[in-house]
Amino acid sequence: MPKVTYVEDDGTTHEIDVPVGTTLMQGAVGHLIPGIEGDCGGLCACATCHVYISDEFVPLCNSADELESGMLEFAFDVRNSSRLACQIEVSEEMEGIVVQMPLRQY
Amino acid sequence: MLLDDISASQLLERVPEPMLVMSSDGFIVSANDALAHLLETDAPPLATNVTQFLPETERARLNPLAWMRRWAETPEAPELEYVHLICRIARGNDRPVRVRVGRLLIDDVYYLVLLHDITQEQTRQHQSRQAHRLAARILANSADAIVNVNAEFTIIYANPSAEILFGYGRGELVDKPLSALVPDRFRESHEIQMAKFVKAKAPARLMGARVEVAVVTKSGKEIPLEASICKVTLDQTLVYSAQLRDLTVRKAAQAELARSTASFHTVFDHALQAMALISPTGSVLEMNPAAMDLLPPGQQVLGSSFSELPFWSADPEVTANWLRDAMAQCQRGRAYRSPVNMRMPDGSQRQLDFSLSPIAREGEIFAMVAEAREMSEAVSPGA
Ligand code: FES
Repeated sequence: MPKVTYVEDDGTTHEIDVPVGTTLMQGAVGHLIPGIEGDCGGLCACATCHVYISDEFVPLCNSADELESGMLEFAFDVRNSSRLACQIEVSEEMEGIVVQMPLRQY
Repeated sequence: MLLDDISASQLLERVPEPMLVMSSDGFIVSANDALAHLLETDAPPLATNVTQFLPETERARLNPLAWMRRWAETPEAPELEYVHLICRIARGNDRPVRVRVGRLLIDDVYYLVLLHDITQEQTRQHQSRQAHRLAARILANSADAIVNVNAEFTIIYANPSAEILFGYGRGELVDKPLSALVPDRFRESHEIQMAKFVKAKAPARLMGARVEVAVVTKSGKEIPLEASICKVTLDQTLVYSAQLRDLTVRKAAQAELARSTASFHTVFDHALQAMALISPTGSVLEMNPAAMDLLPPGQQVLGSSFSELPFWSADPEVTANWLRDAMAQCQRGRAYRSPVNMRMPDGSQRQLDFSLSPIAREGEIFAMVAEAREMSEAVSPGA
């Protein structure tokens, strides 16, 4: 299971083993990590699983499709590195990935 | 009155929800009082653009107008359930609003927009989410293993302590039958017991009461647990929740204690010299057979006052005095040893080498050991 580090806006980090095949959103919600809500359960319909993926980890993730880019418009403080965590499936290669979370999801 | 008699604007006005009709570029052609109320303005906003109060705000990339046009085409869009727009109120504060849009064709394309202020809904949701999160975190951090099962005895929740205890990975226990945790040899009796528990008028019998059970881990290892089960009914949904505590360590400690107690007794009971264990207040905790031989048969000793046992001299006051001094010396941590005249069960007198030694644990005297030997083995008095 790849280790994923979730970093809250205030710098608090959570290192979690997330099973391959699940999503970065499920990994966070399943471990009650504050900072990701996942209201729609991963339907790409709520934009409450907004996270930032820094450049070095971008090649490890699938790229955002049109639906995701559209939904990202509803997120707060959107940056170039913004992604919806429910749309990123965890793979073995993601070992050590760092996921930065925004200040708020609403 | 026929519906035809009511003008469209009258209808719009009477709708108690904030509502407006706009052109495809957001120009408002009609709006009702409820919208004025929401915006805290005196009159509904007319001849202005909807983006005046549905701005892009902090969500820089969001184009509310484009989304409203899109939702008019896809009224079933899943995101309509979850997302909201920000409504800017005259006083400068923002409110979250949920939006519904319909398409009208009157010469040109127009949109009917319904706004619903979800501030309160969001606050309530936030509060219940926080409460839920708090409860979930407490469960997740509980050192006790917690397993919840439904009325069919299918596991619906297991906290991390339970997953660790049973040797399962994250989320692996959910949807498994409870019987997966019961050792084969107990499976049948467990089922009978559970059926009884379900039927019992007063399931509270088990509630809070801790019972010992054996469970089996994923790797097939059997472990002893202490369990307390409670029955919770929520909206007619039944949930059984078991709190489980690993007894392996406690059991091992108990076994170790039993072992050391047994070896203590082997020595104590077979010692040739008379021995007794005395509490700091002077009552007898233990006495070995060699010491019992110095007393009349059937003499009650356990819990009795050591200084009042019949083997001391005929004068109880004398005994009381020197024994009190000996005990006081022992309390201060110093052993006492002296030849003492003792009365035997047959009435004869015998001089024995008597000693009283303190036993301390962490600096505190918690017992004293009294011993009496034949004088021949004794150090001469005063040595
Ligand atoms: S969980 Fe809703 S968009 Fe990701």
